[in-house]
Amino acid sequence: MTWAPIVHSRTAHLDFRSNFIVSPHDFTDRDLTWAKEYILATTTYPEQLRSGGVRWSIFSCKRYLVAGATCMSRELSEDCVHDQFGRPLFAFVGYVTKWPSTVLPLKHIDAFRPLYEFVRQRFDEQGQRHAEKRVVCGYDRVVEEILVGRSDMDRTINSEPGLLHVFPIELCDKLWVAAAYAQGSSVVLDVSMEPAWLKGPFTNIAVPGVESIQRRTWNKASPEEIAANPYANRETHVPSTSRIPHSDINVQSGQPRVLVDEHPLRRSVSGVVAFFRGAVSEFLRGSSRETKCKDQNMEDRHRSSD
Amino acid sequence: MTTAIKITSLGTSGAGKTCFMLGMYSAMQLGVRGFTFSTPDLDLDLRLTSEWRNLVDTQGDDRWPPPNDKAQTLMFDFNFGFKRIMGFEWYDYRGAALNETTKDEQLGGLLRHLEQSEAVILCLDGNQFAVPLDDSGRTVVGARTGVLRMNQLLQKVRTAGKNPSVIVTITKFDVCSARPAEEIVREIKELLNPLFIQGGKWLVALCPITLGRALSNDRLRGAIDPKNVHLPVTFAIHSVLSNILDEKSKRRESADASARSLRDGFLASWWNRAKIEKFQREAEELRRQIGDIGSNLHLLGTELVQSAYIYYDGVEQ
Repeated sequence: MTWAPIVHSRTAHLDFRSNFIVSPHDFTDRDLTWAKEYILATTTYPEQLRSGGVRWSIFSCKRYLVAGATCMSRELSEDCVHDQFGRPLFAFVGYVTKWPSTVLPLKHIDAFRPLYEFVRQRFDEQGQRHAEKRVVCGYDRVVEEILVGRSDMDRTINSEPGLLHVFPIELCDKLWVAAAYAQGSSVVLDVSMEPAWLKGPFTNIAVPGVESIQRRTWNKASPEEIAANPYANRETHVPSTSRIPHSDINVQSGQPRVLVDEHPLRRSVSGVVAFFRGAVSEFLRGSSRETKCKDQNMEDRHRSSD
Repeated sequence: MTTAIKITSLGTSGAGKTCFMLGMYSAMQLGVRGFTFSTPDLDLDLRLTSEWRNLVDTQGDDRWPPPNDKAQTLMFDFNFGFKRIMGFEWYDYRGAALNETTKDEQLGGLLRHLEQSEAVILCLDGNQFAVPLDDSGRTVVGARTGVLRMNQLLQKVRTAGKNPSVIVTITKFDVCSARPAEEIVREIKELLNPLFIQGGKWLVALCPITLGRALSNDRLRGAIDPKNVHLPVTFAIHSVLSNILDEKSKRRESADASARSLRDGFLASWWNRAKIEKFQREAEELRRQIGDIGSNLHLLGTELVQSAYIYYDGVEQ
């Protein structure tokens, strides 16, 4: 399969371009806005990238699938890694394909290094004309790939914008593959439990120190709201948490059977309902037992009369 | 007093907005004359403090914070004796947004914040003032420092009916410290001349700031020793408190006058005694609040006049 590049970076003299360093030729303004929401989220807390870490991310919509890496530029190149003020640069480098895809780029930084060539080509540009210029590229990049196959994880990946699934970091490799299968899902790997990640656009995150898969509800914006105003402050309320037991991951229905966060009132109402339901069924069982007993007595009486 | 005001800093990419904000927060965590900054967001506090420690302790390229690619609103509190006087919202954004078209989301957010701001901080890169400006140099520096665009935005703010105080900060002042400060002030007054004309009614402060004098020789290893980084926001708060003081004084005078008019005559005084008491209580409460604000203002003012150039309606104060 061939891929189109999408790259977000500052260069020596010019700030981060609103149209990216390069993007696929068929991306509309709406597609650029959609991709920007996720790409800017991957560059949250860029200072945490200094230690050499790479944030891997995959996100998809109805038409496209993007797989990318966010890291300090020095992880991708030996030159063109500081701006004119001497600040160390960071970048998002990613591959785009049409959804669905049966393959994914290999989750290794070597597979993404060639994309920094696009930054190098535009590194010395100056002036507003270049800042606004949009550079596009076709689906002609060949990259080392891995096959995407169905797995248990497919059912645990969350595609709902209002929800967030938090995975243990140990599941990173499985998530990378599973994310390609679930249309509309988004995954960012190796982040933290800080509010920016919990409230951001990603519907799945992998975090060190988490032992089991967790589901968090959050009043996130819908994709339409995100597209209309990607930079809106969506701070809402403290998230409620529930854990997804491992036994609930593989279910016959094809959907993950997750525990739903319940309001205490709803819980107490359900408790009362359950009590009455139990009492009614107990009564019915009792009356049926009684009927059975009556029938038994009748039979016995018949037998004795015989 | 629990008011929260909005402050917008305008500056091009690399002007030093983020470093200025880090330095300002760090210096004011320690406090000046009992005034401190804090943030209700403990995660933000941790991030800013850790970034500042990195700037102070690290030598080499990694000491400087990476460039900013997104906009965010940061909430701070301004305190006296650890008692909150006023909150302020700081809008941090990608510098290039200043020069983008209105369809850009970050410029949209910046404009919305700017139009609601009580104070605007203009960050001018000191590197542009390292050598004296001639007539042709002025236009070039106007474009490089973003002053041409800043003038347009201030025009927009005035058209929207707002009259924020303006603080012009010359960041990285260490690189132009060899030049007489008065000469640089004169050049900046020429660049931003609409702010300094009589009849314009602009309240403007000029504050040279630096993160360390040694940085002009060695920006990778020079010692971090911030100067004046707390002044711009102190001035902003001072100007807002002055406005609040004026407004409260007018309300107190009105309450006093109302009480006086109701007391006219023995019968009226008896008949209106409940209303008179209400106005007297209100005037007393306002008098107490004015006393608190006045003493805070006095302390802030002492700090400001020593280190900043302040102008109102084109006249130096």
